[in-house]
Amino acid sequence: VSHRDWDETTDEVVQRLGSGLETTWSLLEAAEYSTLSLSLVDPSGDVGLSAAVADLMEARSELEWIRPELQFAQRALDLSPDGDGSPDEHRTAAVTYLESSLQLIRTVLRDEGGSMSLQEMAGLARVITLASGAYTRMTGRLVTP
Amino acid sequence: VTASRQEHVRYGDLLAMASASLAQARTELYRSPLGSSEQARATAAAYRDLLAALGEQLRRLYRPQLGMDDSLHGTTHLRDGAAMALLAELEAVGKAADWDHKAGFTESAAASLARAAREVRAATDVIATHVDVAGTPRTPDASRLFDPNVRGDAVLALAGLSIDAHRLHGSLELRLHELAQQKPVRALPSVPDTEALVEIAEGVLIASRDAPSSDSPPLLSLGLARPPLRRDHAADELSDRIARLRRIAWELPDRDHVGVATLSDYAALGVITHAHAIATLTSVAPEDGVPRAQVLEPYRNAHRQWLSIRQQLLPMRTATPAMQGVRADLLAVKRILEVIAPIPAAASSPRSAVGPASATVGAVLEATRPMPEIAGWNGKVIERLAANDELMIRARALSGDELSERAEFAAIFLANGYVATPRLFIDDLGHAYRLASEGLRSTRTAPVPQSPSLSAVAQT
Repeated sequence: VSHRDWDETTDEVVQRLGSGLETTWSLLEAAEYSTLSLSLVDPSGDVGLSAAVADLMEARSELEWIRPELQFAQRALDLSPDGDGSPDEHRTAAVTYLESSLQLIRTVLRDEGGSMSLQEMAGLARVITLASGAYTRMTGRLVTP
Repeated sequence: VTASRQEHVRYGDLLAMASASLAQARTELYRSPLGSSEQARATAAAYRDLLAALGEQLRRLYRPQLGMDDSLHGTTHLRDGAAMALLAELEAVGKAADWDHKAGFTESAAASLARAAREVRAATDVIATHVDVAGTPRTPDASRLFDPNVRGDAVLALAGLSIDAHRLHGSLELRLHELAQQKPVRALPSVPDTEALVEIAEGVLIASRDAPSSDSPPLLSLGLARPPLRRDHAADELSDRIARLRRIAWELPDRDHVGVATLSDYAALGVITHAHAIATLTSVAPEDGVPRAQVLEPYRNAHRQWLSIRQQLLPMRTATPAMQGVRADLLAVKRILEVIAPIPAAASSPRSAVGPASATVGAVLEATRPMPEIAGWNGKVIERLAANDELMIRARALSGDELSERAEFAAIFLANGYVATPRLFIDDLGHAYRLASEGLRSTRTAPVPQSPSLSAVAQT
């Protein structure tokens, strides 16, 4: 019986993996994976999805800059739904991962923001910008506070 | 607008400069007599030096094929035989000069000849940067040096320069005699007889007439192996960064321990460059008579293949992390493309009022060009990582069948660990890389697949 991360709520994932930037990294990767899956089944061939993919790539790169150890310890979530899922399923999964990662960053900022350097905070701000941009590409909406 | 654009030095440009310097020397000899015996000696020495420089370059060009005894192997073409005769003659009449050309004679034939020799040697150096001391290629472009058919245009240029050099031989002798008659000169410098050289060089030209041609880019366009990054114009920086990424991709198959994250970065490069190429092509008015879909089709196919490669690579892990240089270049390419070829938001109109400049379109499309080669090289790296059991995948990503392949997989699955990536994954990935390596050419005439899924593309 396969245990699929994407069936869990964000709270459950966070409970299992912890609430740090490492989990944020994994969630962003999962979001990118779902976006890639969506691009491959999306009949419209929207290149905006690729812009989202690129932004999510850069967002993770930014996290690796803030926490260099993330280059080595990269936990992958179960990157599902499977490749043959419907466009809607992939989009929903990507958006859910994105929302969760943004929520996590907010938590990190709240809990650890006080001890962060300005550079780290600027890096996190960049991650937020990129992830929000990807969110807008996916949904056509701005991230709601 | 682009008047101040920096250009990378290219091999052919340096040869053209040498040719111009030679013409200048000829004019100067024709116009003014040699003023002193020192000047006469300097001019004659510079002439010999130039011939020596031409010989050095010819030897460099043929070095991959030249044996210790100067015998040529691996070719039966007439031109190569003629080139060997030219090499022997140049080395017989030429003599590298070891004098300081700056010592005087700034506005003289000697100075122009010295400059020509310097330019020929600079061109030789451009070639040399692509090969290491052992003769092993250092860059993907070095293969052009090893292709006799590509080398042909350089051999022709050298034969042409040899003939050009001889053209001032007559004037030089005349001026030397003139000097001897006007002033008592102890010893006139000797000028090598280059009559035979011209015949041999013409032989090279004749022998080249039916030489086979090659599809590779000409050797004359070869630049330095590792040119500096130009940052003044976005399009130049884009092109230089892509060139650097291509060079590193070429090195990866021979490198120990390449991180799968780096391959993933290259896949992102494929996704990004093609996505922006599609966005740019969509934003320009279609060419007369060519349906937009037909122009876009090869880019869409390649884009899809790189999306699939990136998707397949994402869950894979290696102990080796990403190469920071590649990552930095990738991010820089991303940011440049976002500025010069933005992907519009879905809601906005796909075509802005002002379309991009054609130079920008060209630069963006050009950025996709090395991607098929890169796919080929990346595919080799994946094979190697898999063969060394370096490529891991999370056990949870496997299906039930794959899990039952090996007994220990079940335990790893439960522990949420990583296992060596099963062969099936590697094969799929290898297939995707092969498709991407076929490039735009193979898909240009392919029919539009009915289903947008990758499997449909794969079957065509």
